[in-house]
Amino acid sequence: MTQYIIRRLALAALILWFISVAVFLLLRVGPGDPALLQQGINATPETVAAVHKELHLDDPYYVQYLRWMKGFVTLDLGRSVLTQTDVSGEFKGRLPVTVELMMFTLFWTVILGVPFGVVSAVTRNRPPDYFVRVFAVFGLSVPAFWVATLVLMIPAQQWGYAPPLNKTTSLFTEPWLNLKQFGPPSFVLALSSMAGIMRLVRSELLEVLRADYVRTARAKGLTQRLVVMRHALRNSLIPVVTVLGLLTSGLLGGSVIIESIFNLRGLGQYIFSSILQKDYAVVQSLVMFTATVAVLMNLAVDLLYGFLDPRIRYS
Amino acid sequence: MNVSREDNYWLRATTGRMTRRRFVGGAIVGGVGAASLATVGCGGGDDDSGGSTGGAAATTTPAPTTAPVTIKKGGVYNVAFTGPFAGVDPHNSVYGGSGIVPVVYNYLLRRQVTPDAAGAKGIIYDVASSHKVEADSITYTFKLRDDVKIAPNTRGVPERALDADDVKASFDRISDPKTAANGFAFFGRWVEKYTAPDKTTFVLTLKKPYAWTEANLGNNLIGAIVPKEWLASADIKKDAVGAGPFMLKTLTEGQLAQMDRNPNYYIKGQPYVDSKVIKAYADQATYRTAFTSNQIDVYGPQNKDETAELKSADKTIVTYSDPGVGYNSFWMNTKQKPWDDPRVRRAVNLSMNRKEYIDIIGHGVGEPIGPLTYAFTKEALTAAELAAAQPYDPTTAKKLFADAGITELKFTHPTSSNMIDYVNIFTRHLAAVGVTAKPDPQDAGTWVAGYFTSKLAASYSLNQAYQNPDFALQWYHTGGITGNNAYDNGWAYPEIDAALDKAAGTADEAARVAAYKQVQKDILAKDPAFINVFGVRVEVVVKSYVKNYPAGLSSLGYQFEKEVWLDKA
Repeated sequence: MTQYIIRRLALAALILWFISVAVFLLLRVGPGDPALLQQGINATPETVAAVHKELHLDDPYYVQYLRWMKGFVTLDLGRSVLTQTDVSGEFKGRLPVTVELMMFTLFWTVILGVPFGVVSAVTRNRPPDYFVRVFAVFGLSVPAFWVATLVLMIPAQQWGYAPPLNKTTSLFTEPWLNLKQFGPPSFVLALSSMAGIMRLVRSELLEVLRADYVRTARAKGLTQRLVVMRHALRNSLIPVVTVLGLLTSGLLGGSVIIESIFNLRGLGQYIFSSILQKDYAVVQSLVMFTATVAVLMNLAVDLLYGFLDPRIRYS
Repeated sequence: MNVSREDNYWLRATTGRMTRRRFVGGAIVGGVGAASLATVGCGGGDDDSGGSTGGAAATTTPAPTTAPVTIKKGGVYNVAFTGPFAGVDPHNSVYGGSGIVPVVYNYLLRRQVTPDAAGAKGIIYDVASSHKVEADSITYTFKLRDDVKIAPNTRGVPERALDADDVKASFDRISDPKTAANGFAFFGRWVEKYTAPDKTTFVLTLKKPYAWTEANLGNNLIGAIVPKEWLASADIKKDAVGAGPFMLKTLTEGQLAQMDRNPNYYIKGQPYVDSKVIKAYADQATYRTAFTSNQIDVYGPQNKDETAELKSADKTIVTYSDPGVGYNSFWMNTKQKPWDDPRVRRAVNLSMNRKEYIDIIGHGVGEPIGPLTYAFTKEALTAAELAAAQPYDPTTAKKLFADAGITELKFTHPTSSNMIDYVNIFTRHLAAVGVTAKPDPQDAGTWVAGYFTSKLAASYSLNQAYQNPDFALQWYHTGGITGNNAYDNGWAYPEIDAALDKAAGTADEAARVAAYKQVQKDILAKDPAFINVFGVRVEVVVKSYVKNYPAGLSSLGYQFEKEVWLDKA
């Protein structure tokens, strides 16, 4: 087990190094100059040169790369070219927003995805099953940004209501306002993952319900409820845990658009505006953060799998 | 996110510092999720391009006239825009920060260039209480007020009165090329020197007479007067300390800026509102939703149809529609083929059916424009003059392209939200005259880099707004719009430079207007490498309780936000 973890960590480090080089180079070999964006239409050759020097953009690539890597591991992410703000400070301020959005999203995913998946499986080929399946197809096929726009605009147009589009609040200081801010976007963001979990739970549960030990349980006279909840569901949830883990890193990507539409001041909104403005310091650090989360989540899921299913052994 | 114990709702609830009734009540509100919202945050602060100017054709549907009412003080005035703040540098802000600078800092004076329908405001003094132009038309002597006191701040800048030394220090910064100030070209081309002989006197000497001196000194983006201690601060791009009507309380990039009333403001009783909040939205739909859900007080619709739609949903809102001072243009680099051929440039201009742009993009509202937008009602060429100077003539365009051997053209454009509509019409017009136009969309960073360094061959672009005719016409001056050859397309004629300088230096208005008309005709006759397409109208909708909304003043209207008041409980 220890050897397995060490091997996986080494592989993760290699993957992250590869990603860091790719992100760093892709940003720089592409056309465009962040110094010009910072200075706007009034830029002069002198000021552009001054910004290049200030941001060390004149240094050789390997020097820039090493400086960035050193900053990344020491959490000194540099300064935003466009806004002049400290990226580490912005990151610290915005991370809780994105984490909360992801937590709420996972909450909706589990709290609605699993029960509806169960309902779908136990009512196979009956109206509740059809309803859940149609909903799942809808959730998977309709883009979140479109649903988000409708969720925002229709109530505003019809009833003059929209989630608060003001300063992003804290769950600790203004909980109810916070819930109104995070509820709708997290539900929209959860739609596709919820749909995926519904389908996964349904198919896994249907398979388990056909297993010998379930037939034995029924033969012993257990009620359908006990059979499903105590014997079948537990085993069918193992792949669900895996998928939920992988979803977490995917949600980081989904938050980019949702945070922008609902005006949540999180990492997604930050990376969205930074990509548009070619803000090196922000983009490369946030992409690395996302990649790190994805790699670590993969590792965590693999390890967790072993605990959930004793039949699995690492070698 | 640091939360103190006292601030923490959950800790207060669990430790008994919040009554059970209050806790449960909060839970019910949160559960239902339909409680009314406090009106905070957001709104439609126009940047330059989003602003409106009060041309003679301005139309307004004002709120129903009522008997004179007492001004209600207090409340939060909420505006918004789409985009980043990108800092709050007083001299080179071009994004959302440019909506903060004019209300936090002061100017020597203001001058409204384009009179609005309600009457021109003319010159309005600020730090200066009066000024005199000597007979030589190059020496301006400003007498300064002694009570323009710096706002309370936590930056260690003393709460003293602004004086002539602050004006001089501010102008030194604008003149310094390292600042990349918006006013660099004005100071470089026209200003000879300036002195502060005493605390309340400031003397500005020009190189030669210049009719737009007051307009430029009062331009939001050019002439901010900053306390000299603050000019030395490393944080001048991130925070603001001035003596304007408001003081910047918070600036959260990507979210909002809150400005509170400056208790030291020299006009006692103003501003009328307690705070002005500018929200930054990433998405136009979010911006509109914030307005329709009463979270902001002002919104900028995309066109007249959207205005009508909002008006039909809420008949109480007040709508404004004014000629905009922004430009949409086609830029050609005469240092690259085939744009060095005047036949090609002329053919592009003749192939443009400007009416179609107006019908599709302007929803039927707007005017064809030449070098100057129609918002400058006096100086701009009339429709008849434009029809003669740059007619829609596809037949001739086709012949010119054929003579030049052109069957295919390439051009770039930034991938902004509405640019694709312009590009599609443009390529269709060229196809109609036998030329296949191949657009090369580029992200903003890539595009501006190529544009700035003149590496692009040709580009469609949506340019900034220019608050006076001289500023806009610098596109045709050697040295270009920035005065330092950035964005240079190589199109340069000494006689045009001389004519532009002469027009700008003509004090007599009638003679100046005639000079501007003539130079525009001369420019068009020389097949310019910078072609403007049409002038849009800028739509604004405002909640009915917002009084004294400074409509029709372009971004110059920011200076009157101190007089905005909210007629609501």
